[in-house]
Amino acid sequence: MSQTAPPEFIGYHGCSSAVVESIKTQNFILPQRDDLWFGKAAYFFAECTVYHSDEHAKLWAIKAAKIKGDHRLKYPEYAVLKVVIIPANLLDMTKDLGKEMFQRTLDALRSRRLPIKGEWEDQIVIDFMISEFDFDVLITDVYSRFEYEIVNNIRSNVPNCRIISVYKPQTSIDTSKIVVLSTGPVPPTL
Amino acid sequence: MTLDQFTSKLEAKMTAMSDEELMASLRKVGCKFLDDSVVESFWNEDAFEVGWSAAANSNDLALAA
Repeated sequence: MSQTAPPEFIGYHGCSSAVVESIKTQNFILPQRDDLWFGKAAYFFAECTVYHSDEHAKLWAIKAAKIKGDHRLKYPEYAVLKVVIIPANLLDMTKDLGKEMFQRTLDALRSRRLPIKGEWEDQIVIDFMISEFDFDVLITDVYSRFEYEIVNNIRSNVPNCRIISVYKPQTSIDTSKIVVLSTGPVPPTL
Repeated sequence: MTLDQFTSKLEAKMTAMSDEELMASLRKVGCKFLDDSVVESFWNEDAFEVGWSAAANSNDLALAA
């Protein structure tokens, strides 16, 4: 089993329209929080035949503008950016190779019988792989709840979007190729 | 990277790392161990949503700077 040279990927990023120029001039700045899903990365909805990725980016930008329990908005206008992502060292969890790498890492960690709390979390194993093997781009299929799913308490174990996590934007993303796909007002909370 | 290359690197890394070193590496990515003091877990959906919001707006920091 081998992995071919990594191709280019198209990703869609939803954000405040106020930060677009900053992104286009400085590239994506990674958040330094410790509670991100797959670590300190810039996140994108991947263009693919299965999911409506640009629409997901818009929905995410709208959701991110909302404050839980508050009708005020973090920003009044959203933007959806189209970005070309070129990985140097890709971990693609949507492919058999990535899944096998994950399984072998999990098996190796389990075999050490470390005194962890609870079970091995997928996110911990993946973040460990990213950290120890210097992957710069991660692709995963996940189930993500947007505003409609949260308001209506809809949950599923079936993925509904493909996510690209970029750990080194300065080398993986060419800012000259960033395109503003759409902008618009953030609608009121559902 | 092929699966064989990855497996070789993984085995070499696991052999080279003591339990303490491995646990230190895992702590950096949020893994909690039995001896750790009680810390609220970040791995819940609310945190994920907050995290995504932060990621989506990471350049707010640049804007504010």
